[in-house]
Amino acid sequence: MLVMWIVTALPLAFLCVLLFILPGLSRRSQFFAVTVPPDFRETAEALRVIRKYRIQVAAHSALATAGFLLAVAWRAPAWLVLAFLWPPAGALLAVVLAHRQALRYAVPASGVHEASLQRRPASVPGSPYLWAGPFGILGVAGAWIGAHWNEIPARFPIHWGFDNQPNGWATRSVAGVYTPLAIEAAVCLMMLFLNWQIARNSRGSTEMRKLMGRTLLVLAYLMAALFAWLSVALPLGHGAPGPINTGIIVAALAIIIGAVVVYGFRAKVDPEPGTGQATAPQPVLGAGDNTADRNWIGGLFYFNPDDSALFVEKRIGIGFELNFGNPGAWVFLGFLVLIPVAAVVLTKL
Amino acid sequence: MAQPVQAVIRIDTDSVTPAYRQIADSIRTLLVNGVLHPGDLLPPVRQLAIDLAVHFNTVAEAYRRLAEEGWLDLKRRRGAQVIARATPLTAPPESELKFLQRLRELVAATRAEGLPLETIASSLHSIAEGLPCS
Repeated sequence: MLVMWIVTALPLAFLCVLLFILPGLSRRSQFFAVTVPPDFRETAEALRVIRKYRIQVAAHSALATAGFLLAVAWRAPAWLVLAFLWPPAGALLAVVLAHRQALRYAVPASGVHEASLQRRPASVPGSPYLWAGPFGILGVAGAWIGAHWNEIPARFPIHWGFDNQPNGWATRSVAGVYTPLAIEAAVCLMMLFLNWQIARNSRGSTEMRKLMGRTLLVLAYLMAALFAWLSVALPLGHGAPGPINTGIIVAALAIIIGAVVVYGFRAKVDPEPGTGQATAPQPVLGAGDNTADRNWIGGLFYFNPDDSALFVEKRIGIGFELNFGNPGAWVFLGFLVLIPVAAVVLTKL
Repeated sequence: MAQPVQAVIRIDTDSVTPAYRQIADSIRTLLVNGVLHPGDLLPPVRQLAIDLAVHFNTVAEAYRRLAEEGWLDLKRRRGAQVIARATPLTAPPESELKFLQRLRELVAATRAEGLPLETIASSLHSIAEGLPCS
């Protein structure tokens, strides 16, 4: 029981640390998503804004920790949701406030945009054979369950509470047994689609594109392996995943996210040189990413109907941000919402 | 097999000159200066529009203008390819007048921005020297 709580506490601690170091995950010419001179970060004004941000994040983290401890004391796992949602919500607010403060020090944005005339490779980053792997894993798991169908009990547990007692059940039916695999296949398809869209319709450094492509591929493998294992182990009565296995999953995710942060930081600080502003920042030109400060709402959301890009590189944090001025972004969001909704509907069948 | 194009174009969205004309002018300059050669493939409209943070139609219009001038062959899905363009043997009579008019306007605007006359003159001279003779 104690081990399970500790395993659950680790991601929360990891999340709080990530939010604390967030201001460092941006290009030198951008400070809380505002265009600034490259040496602004070392000034007293910048340090004051960062200090205010970190005090707020520390306060929100402390509140979340208190919520977590209450959840432990009261044996109320529902409180955990609040404990996990509180730090990111508080950090979002802190970023918006810091963005507003940073706007006072913004340099006039330049309208100069540069682009290389070199064609980008049309293929999806990562070999198609590599992307077939997660689907293969799910297929093998499906075939394995099919071959052992008669060994599956009429009703089997699929969810356990913190007291290690089952509190959710499924029946031996196609929907009951194969739904997790179908959901994961849909998630893998979504990740592949996201990877393709970032390769095709994004503006950002080549390094960041590669990083996102590799991250999505590794996550697809990890999640496919996890779902395949659960889909086989649970119907065949191998019981709860247990704290050790959950710990392994949490550790694997932490390693992946940690690697993304390290490589993402390097991609932000040291982008590839000499390939034009589309792939490298040009502080002298202002924005450095061909976007204007006014298009970054609260420093978090990009909205520019005149920009053809579906994704642009985040100004704060690692990865890409949707251009909400592009109708495709809303279609994409619709799909993102559709998958969990479909998952819930399918599990109710 | 077309070689990868190692060139960069730049536009200023704050300029009064429409973006499609800036794109067309930039690419035409590379064509005239021999940086782009027949057979070279330009990036698809989508890619260039995304990289320049402009609308697809802006780049499509620039490519269309260059195609009308005989510089590009527009291929569906493959983008634009540079083609051999025969320089007209005799320019229309109004061409020289138009050129001088635009040049005077450009020089006047540049002087108004504060660039010394000597710099403008030497820049025009070096541009003229760099132009191919044929």
